Amino acid sequence: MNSDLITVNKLSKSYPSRQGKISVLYEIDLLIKKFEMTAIVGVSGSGKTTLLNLLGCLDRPDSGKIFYGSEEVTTLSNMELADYRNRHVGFVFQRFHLIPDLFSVENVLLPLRIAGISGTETMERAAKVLKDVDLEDKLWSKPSELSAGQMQRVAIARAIVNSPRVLLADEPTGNLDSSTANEIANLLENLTAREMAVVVATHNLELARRCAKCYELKNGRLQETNP
Amino acid sequence: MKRKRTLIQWAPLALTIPAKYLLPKRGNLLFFAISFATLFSAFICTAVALLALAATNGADIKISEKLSGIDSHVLVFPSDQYQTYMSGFQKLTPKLKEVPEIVAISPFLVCEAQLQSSVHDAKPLPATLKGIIAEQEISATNLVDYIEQGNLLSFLEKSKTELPILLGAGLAQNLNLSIDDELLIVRPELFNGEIRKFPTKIAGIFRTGIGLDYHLAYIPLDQAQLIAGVGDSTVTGIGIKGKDLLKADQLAMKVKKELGDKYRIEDWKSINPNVLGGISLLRNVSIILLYGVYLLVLVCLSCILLLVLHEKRRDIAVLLTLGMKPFHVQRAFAFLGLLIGVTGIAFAFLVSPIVIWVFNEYKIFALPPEVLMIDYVHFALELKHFLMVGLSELFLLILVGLLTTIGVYRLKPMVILRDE
Repeated sequence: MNSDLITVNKLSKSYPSRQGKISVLYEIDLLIKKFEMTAIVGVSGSGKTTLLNLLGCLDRPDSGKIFYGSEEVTTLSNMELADYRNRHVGFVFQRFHLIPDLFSVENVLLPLRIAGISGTETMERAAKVLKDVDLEDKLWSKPSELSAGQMQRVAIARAIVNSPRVLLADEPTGNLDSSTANEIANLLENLTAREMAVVVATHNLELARRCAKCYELKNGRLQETNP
Repeated sequence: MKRKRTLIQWAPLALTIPAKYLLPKRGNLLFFAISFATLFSAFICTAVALLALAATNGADIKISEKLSGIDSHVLVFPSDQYQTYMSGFQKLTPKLKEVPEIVAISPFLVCEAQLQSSVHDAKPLPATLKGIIAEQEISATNLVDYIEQGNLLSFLEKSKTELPILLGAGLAQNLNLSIDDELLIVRPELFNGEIRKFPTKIAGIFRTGIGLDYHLAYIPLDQAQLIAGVGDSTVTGIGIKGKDLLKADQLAMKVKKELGDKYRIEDWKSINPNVLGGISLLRNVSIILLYGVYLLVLVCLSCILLLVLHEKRRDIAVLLTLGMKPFHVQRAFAFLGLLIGVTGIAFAFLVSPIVIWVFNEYKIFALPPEVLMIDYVHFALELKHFLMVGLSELFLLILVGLLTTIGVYRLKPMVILRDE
């Protein structure tokens, strides 16, 4: 069975600035495999978030290609990319970014509703995923009523409720104390058992060490490293 | 688990997310207050728009009724304007019956005379006598509605045995006469060396509220023909009542086509161009005001949508990362504006008819009738006004909602989520 999930070929991305174009990523090659957790490390501004943006189909590269399996996603239209994102990519952020007006369970069932699923199935699936992250008693809590660790769990539940192929986590432990960060790291690690690839952009070397592979972004280039 | 269901699992996100933002709660009170202010302005503006349209329409109807009140919608005269009478009017009746929009016809003969009280020592006053066939005049005009004393029935009864007359209220007042008083119709020309006088009795007094009251009087057509010294097939013209007062000009064209060039056709609109021009101006000003008012609501709404887009841009970024299409996000936030606007409009639609009923019932806005022909501002609200206001506001709300939220397409979700 081919375990290659995301293949990145010579990916480049630059942003315009007053001094001209700033190259953030330069001809990057990367392979992400199923059942694996991959870490992207690097100093602030090294381009970790930009790389996650591109992997998550939220931005387009200047050049290079991204394949999900055998399907090239860089050529998809914006509408197709939105669909793709909904079905195959989950996002987790440093600051959780739950919608404060919605209950935990409502936050979690959003991706299902966006995918066009409605009715009791959405509730059952959202409740089950929240149970998987040990939050079965917090279904009807607003984000403001949750601790930081619980909010990140809800965010992870929201990211995986649609059973995506890849989970992209941008500094998932950045706002957490070490004990909670460890719990979240365990949770992310366990997700790889669901045929899911997990890519984390992090400064947390402890988390990076738990990943099967670790890459460092430096001067726009990506190189494998040992944290 | 305290609750089993949530609206979001069933209803479209485009409805549920904006609805969540509208609820008053801690941290959301400013947004709620501004939303409520916008909703209230939409309510006021829509109500004002409906009132303005109803008032214009009411003035249109009332003044039109006044102008055409005791006249027919369309009048047929001889084509030569110097020709006082037309003969053989009976032969026109079958032709006029060919026009389906005609409801009734009524021949009439107009002649000048003087009226002199026979019970008081009053001076004779000039008057315009209009000879009518009462049964037909009832069908072709609204004369019945303007009779203040007496009635057309007694006029009809008396015409069999004597010469009855219906006097304008101003004329009766100047002659110092009232119902059942006797008077003389005096024809100023000599007949066999004598001035002819016709004794008559007042069968009724009418009041139109306009100048006609001071010089017009009705008598039976056959008597008018006798007084004018013409034959029984001679009249001044024929009055026609159509199905729709406001379409009298169209009916006039059809009648002209049917009767040909031998006859001059006039309708009440062509006879009163200045007043109708005034009403038309009033209507146009109302419509300009209406759109001015809309503009105000739309500016308010744009402001609130820009505010909510800015306030909720993190939520929007989250929705985009979850795979929601920018168009759907735009639709959801445009719907938020629509929800506020439509709620205001709906309240206005409910309240305006009640306010209008009160205004009409208690004649709140009194007017000097001698100046404007109507004694109070009459509001006439019709279904078309709801449709006109509702549909145009709906269209503008959707347009403004979509235009204001177009910025959604330019959002960079990950940049927002990283920076916030």
